[in-house]
Amino acid sequence: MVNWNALLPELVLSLGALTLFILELFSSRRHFRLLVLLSAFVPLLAFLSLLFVEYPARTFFNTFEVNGLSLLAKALLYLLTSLVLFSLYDYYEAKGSPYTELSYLSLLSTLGLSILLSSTNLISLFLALELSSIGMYVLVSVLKEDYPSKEAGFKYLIIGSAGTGMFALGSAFYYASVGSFYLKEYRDENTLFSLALFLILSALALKVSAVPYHFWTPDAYEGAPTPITGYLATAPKLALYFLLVNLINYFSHAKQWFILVSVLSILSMFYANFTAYAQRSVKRLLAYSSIAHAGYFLLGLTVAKPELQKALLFYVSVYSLATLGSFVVLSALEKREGFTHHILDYRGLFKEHPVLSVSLALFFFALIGIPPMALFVGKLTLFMGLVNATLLPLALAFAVASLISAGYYLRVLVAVFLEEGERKYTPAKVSGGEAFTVLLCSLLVLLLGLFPNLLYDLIKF
Amino acid sequence: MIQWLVFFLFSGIAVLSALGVVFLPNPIYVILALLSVLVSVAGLFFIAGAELVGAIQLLIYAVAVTVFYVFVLTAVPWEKAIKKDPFYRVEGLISFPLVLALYVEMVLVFLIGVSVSPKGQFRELITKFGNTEVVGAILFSKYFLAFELVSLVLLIGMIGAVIIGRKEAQTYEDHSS
Repeated sequence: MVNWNALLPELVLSLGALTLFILELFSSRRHFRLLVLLSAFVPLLAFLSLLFVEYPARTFFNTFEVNGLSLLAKALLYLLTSLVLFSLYDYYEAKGSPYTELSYLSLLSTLGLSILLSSTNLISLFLALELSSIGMYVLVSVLKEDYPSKEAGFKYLIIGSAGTGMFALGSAFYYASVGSFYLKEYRDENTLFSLALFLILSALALKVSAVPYHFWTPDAYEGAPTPITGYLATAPKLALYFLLVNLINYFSHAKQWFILVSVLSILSMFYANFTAYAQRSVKRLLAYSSIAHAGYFLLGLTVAKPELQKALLFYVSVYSLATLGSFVVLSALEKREGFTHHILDYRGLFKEHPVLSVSLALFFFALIGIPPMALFVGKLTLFMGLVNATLLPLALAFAVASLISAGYYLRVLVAVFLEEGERKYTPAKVSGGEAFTVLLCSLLVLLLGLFPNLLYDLIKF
Repeated sequence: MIQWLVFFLFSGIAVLSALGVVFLPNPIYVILALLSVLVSVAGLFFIAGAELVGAIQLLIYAVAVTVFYVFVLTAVPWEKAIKKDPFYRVEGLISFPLVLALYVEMVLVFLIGVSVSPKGQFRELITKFGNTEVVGAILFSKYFLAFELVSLVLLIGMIGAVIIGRKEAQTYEDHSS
């Protein structure tokens, strides 16, 4: 028998998405705001339904597994999706492209990520990854009369498909060596298994945008509608790191794992942090910051030690809150007529929008890792974890890369607070949803920085 | 003996038509050659005793995919569809070692894969129940979740194609307001 209880949040999400799909058929652009707000409540409902799931449980012939860690990941994922949906309606209305399809596309994408978190089988993993990615390709490309968004969507599709291909090939090699699509302990080392490891890791590195698989990231992030960039930079990253922490038990015994992961992370950290200095667009700069963070996070996966993975998961959770917050601030600013994300446009922002500027500064300070924010705790625990795992060189590289990164965030803040703007823009109205999202993100970033145990104790293996 | 003859017949047709796909200048001939490749590969599946895979190959590739190609051809202007320069020599030279490596890798995988894969558990089942039943039994039990997920993937792909493909001006031809 199928254990429906384990599937409860996914059922809520898919029913919600289908309901919105039907409602969308009978509605016009006047109902855009209503539909999007309705859709924002669906992940919240799924969030509540998590409380009724009994765990640990397995269903569908053991292809679907629920445990404490995956439930926590789903809770964070639903929260992020809901916040994104709350914040996006005003941006699309200001841009004159109220696509009502947005309401269920992001829900289906989140559904894919949610199944990804519970899959124990490479086939359902592959399909869940595809479901979420296809949803995101579409989300990136729907902005009316905006050529860069189409281009971004197309680039993302092409490079994302290469990742999908690598994952499929990797799964085939995994089957050839292990004899099963289920993830299980496999201690034998042979070339087939190494190939499987290499291809699957590459595919996932592509999805989390680690160097050298990062080429889609700056273009897709810059071209996508800004609230969707906020979604791209947070929800899939969060889900994929929880997945990677799950995979580490099955793959990390291989000799190649440590080398591959550390090379990926060192390349990402240093390449992205140096390239970010050359960026003139703040949105693109944040994309490079996301690549650099992929490098930091991969450090937490180098060796299988619960302490290190706990630090990583805490860090990635609070990081996604700070990133979402900063992208929402950017999207609120972009509603002004003629505003591009060029750094010169940010000069003198503090005089016009003090609250938005201060919250942007808060998120950027958090991304640098200044103490009262939660990201500092993440960085510190990750650093201590690396030191305790006797990986001192990696820990030092992490510290140096974080120091290098401070400069480009601060340059933006200097432009915002200290320089005078030349152009005058019509002031942006901040919608209720955006205000709510920014407020909640900044509160959580501060709160989890002061009391990290609130989240840290929930991460259990 | 007759099996071998048919095998060589089909594989010969497949190889010849595959060459045609690469070298024929007219797009319509290319599609016809592709169709011939797909049909002969389906024939190979039938000889190997995988009648389900053969039938699916015929249904999905030979019918659906080829028809899509024809649709694309009718939608794309002719002068763009005909390649000005039929041979990309430099690209071909660069990619040749990679293609060779891919084929060598595939052969290796088949050789090694045979020795590691489970010891013929499926062979018995297939002779006992037949092809279609075995695939169905696995698909609708062990991989039922995956099967359901495929439907969602197709749904979102279709919606995405419609949203991106339609003209932006027609996105909201609101008749009511």
